Amino acid sequence: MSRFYFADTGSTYALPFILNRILTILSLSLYYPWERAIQLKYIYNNIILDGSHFDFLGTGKEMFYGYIKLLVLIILFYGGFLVLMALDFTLYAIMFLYIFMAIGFIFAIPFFIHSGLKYRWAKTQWRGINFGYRGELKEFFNLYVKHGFFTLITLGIYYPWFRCQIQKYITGHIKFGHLHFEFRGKGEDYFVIYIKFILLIYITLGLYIFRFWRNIFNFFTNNTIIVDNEKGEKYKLTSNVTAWSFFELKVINFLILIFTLGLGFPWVLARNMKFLIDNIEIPDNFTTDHIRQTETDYNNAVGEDAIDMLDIGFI
Amino acid sequence: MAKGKYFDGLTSSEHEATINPSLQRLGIIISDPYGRPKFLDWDLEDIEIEYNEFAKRVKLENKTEPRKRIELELSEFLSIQDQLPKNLRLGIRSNGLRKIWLFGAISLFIIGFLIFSYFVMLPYFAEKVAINFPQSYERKLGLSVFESMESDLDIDSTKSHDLQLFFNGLGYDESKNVQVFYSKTNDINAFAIPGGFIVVNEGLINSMNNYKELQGVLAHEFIHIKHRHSLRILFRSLSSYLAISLVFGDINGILAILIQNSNELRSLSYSRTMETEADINGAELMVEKGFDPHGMIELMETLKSHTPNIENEVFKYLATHPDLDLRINNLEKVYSNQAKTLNADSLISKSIFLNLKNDR
Ligand SMILES: [Zn+2]
Repeated sequence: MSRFYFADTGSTYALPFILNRILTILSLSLYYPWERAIQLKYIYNNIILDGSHFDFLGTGKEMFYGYIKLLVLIILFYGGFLVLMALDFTLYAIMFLYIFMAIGFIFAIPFFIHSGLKYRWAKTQWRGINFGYRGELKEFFNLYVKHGFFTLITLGIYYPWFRCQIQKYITGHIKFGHLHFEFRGKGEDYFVIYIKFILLIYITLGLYIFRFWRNIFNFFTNNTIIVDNEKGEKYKLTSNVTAWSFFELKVINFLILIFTLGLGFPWVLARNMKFLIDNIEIPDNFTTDHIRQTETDYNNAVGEDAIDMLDIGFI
Repeated sequence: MAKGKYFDGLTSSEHEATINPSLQRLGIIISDPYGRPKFLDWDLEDIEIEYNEFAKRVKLENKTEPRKRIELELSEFLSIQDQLPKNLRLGIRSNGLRKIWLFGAISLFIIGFLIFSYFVMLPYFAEKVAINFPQSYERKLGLSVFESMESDLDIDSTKSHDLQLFFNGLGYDESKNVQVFYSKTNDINAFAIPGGFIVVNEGLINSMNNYKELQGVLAHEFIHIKHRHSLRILFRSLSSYLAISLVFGDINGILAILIQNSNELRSLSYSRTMETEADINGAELMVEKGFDPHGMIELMETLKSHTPNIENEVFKYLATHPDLDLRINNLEKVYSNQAKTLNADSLISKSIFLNLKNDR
């Protein structure tokens, strides 16, 4: 049996999914944080490493405060438009204000990412050993703005380097007990992936997209390393997904969603997770028996004010 | 006795554990790294229980730092749970069946609630909003609708002025906000736009036999405005659309319906109840102001007499103002109830009407 896999097909999530979806709709989406917490529990509990499942300890209540803040921002953004129209502002004035606000949002993104990461990893456990994210907001913000600025003035050409810098910072600050992680991906390699995409996507009538996705998945996985400073060892993750398996995943997911009118979402979620987790291979010499607890005190300081905007992405 | 896995909260190592509940304590036997048994003893007061429905495991966690835990398969835990105090038991014995019942009950309740809120609460709130909608906004909305259709209406400003005089003379509108327009359109029709605009077509005026009918039409349309009928219909359709698009997450559609509805205000079809209300309250208003409400009935007769001849055009009017016979019946009742102290001085009205009708 594989050491690292996703254990469910989606059926155990079907009932909670429908119930929670209805509650979210009825509550005008105020219930969403609770729905999200259950979904995350489902996902984490079905990720199995060496026979033990992961735990997500977060609660809907904790995520609610952050969610409300986000909701208020969104309502202000959209509702503000109607109010300004009613107050007889000129369209130019409104446009100006909105461009201004949009720039504000761009600066808020690193803050959202940071607080999301901090919360999510503080609430992740395996065999009672806590994960943690030790990035600093100020550092991350500076990094984000600096490389974001380069990306802007190069009209996006710098994006692969930007992405790698961000990934390097984030991965480098994730702790799993006394272990930590490293990301070694280079901007130029990521850039090549994009260049190939641009060159080949039209020639292949769009079919190259599956190979592109495969390349990205493999790039991020194969460049992620687990570091054990106590043993002085590094362990490289590997992935060998094929473009064909990506094709199969996406097409079947699409068909499931279409033919079930969206009710098949739990199965699609499970298929995605299975694809993601089962395709990450952990080297045999990496043993999980002696990971020491280190993050408990640090995590206790994480406040109940999470903005959990992150997608399922584990890396 | 039950078997599970023990985690000490300090490292990730996994220990096979056998647990033995007694009155105040939980006895735990684990094997240390050398295979020798090690005995642990937890105070029941320190333990928290949690059932993890997705992992199908029961977690017993010892709250004292470092937090230690034992994880058991559900069946293992159920074999010993009777020996534990009530606060450390799970109520999930008939888990599957109970869940299905609960799910059924909740869905039924939710569906019932949805139906109730869609058909009862939503119209109620829409009505409330329509009634409390600020007058200045209603006026703005109506004005934009009126302006958008003004070019099609072919308004005669001189005759509109006369018509306004006629209307003002009736004293229906005490706040003097309503504007009346004479449209040189041949449709046998008259309509009200929210915010206080009444348009009467030349076709309708020319088909009338006397000024009382015009008094009747204006009373009818004035009630539509006074009771905000069009606004109420707009808010109803808007709110049900809002509810539907909330459920299906289609917010952009709301904008579409807003635009579509403001267009529909032009050719608004009121509900039957609203028409009856406009007829009866209109007739009552006429009585109140000392006019002969029979004008309303005569109006219906006129409309009826035109029905077979100019089919196409009248059909439009009929579709929105159905059942003329029924409406006449309703009006007869008001007529028979009225106190017959009629306002004698209708000479001015009469002359304005004749002027409007004959001056081609
Ligand atoms: Zn009417």
